Amino acid sequence: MDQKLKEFFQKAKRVQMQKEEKSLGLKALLSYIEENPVRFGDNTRRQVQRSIISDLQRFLQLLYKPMAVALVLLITVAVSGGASLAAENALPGDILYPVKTEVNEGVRSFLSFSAETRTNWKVEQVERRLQEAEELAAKGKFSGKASAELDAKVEQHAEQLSQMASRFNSQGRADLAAEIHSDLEATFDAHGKVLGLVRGEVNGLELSEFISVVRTRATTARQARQEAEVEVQAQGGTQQRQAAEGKMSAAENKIAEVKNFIAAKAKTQAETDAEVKLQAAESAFANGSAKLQAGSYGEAFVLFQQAMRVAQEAKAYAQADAVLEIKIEAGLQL
Amino acid sequence: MPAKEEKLFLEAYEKYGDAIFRHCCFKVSDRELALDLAQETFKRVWLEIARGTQIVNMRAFLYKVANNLAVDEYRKKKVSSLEAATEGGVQFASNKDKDIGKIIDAKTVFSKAEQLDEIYREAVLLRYAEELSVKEIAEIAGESENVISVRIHRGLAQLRIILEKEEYGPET
Repeated sequence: MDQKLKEFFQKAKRVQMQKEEKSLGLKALLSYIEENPVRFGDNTRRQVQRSIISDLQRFLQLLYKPMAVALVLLITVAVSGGASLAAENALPGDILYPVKTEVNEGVRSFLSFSAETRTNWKVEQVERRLQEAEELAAKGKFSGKASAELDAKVEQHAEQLSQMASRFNSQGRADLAAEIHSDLEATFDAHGKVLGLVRGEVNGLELSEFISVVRTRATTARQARQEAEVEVQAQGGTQQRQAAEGKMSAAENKIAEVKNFIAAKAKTQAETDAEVKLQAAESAFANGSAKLQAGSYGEAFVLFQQAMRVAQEAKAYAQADAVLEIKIEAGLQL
Repeated sequence: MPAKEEKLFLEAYEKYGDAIFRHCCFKVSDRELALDLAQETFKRVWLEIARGTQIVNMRAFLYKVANNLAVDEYRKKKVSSLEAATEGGVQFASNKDKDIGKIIDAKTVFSKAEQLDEIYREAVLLRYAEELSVKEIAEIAGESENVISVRIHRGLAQLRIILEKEEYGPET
């Protein structure tokens, strides 16, 4: 066979699953095997089989420690729901804090199947860490140790999210990558501001440093989001249209969600910044709808995404207002 | 022979998982879908094993199941063509730096492969990329060995022309 053919077949052979995909597949198959055991043969054999499977599981536990921990703890949680519930409000330094981050969140990560729920949950984890920083700071307990712990966790989540984003990019789904960066940007941006407000009340070098890291992260996310949006704008008409339409319903849901959140949490105070922000989100949404109708799908996508970001910020402000009792004035500039 | 079935099955995944995934990629031109199909293939095969079906040639059986699933997929919805997959930017690998070479390879391979007629594509890839015997390919495709031999022959001729037509890829 001539060289070109040979080369062609060699290259064809290199189309493979990624390592991670393959191990996930294997793991899924293992549980499938356990759910669907061999239905013939005698009892002795069945028992040996089971032990082999559990050996494999044990081996996999070494490979996927967090996942396995989550599995084991899923049961623990079912049995001891109380501790896990109590842990939900734990902050770094509390005895129950590891239960919150490892057990409770581990279970949720384990239960997030689709790419969408996984990314949303990762963003939420980043948000939870930043909220913890805010609470600690508001209580005057923001130490260097807590700062390091929280930042390491944020870093880890952000890194995983950026990997997910590049995977989406490589699959030609710049719109999904843009969403990840946009969510992160909104989260870092809003919580950076809230943290800045908390700092107004309590001083501390650690907090200042933490805030500057959060702000840098916001900038990084913004740049990545803008790059991804350029990608989306460069896509073909149909793909762009689908992306814009998908984003439209996502933005609609987000605004509704935040509206409910604010209605449930807001105190009776006059217009807070959260509400002003929410109105801004709604107007960005309206602009997006107009662009969509006019057939400017790329621009519509960007506007819907902006609406989502602004709504997300509104939520962070309402949260700060409710939990930290920090009043965020309308039209606040930081 | 304790747990022989599980062991054989998991070994089969280790050994043929990538090949089945690849086969699905060439069939449905969609990486994510191919991942799902490959996974589903192994699940179906396991169910057969669990039911006590004696599988003589595991590898050929896997391909057969994958083919059936791909056909179901065609029926369910019109699957995008290979052309759409490569031109529309669906890539067949991640874009991590170390995988860039793989992406380029995958792209060139897919752009050539899509020019082949589907029956030829399957025959030549199974024969020369996966190194299956003509007999096995015949079993997978549900055709006689003669038919497969002809397909391989014509497929190679077609492929040779395709490869001659343009320079092979960015690397060479």
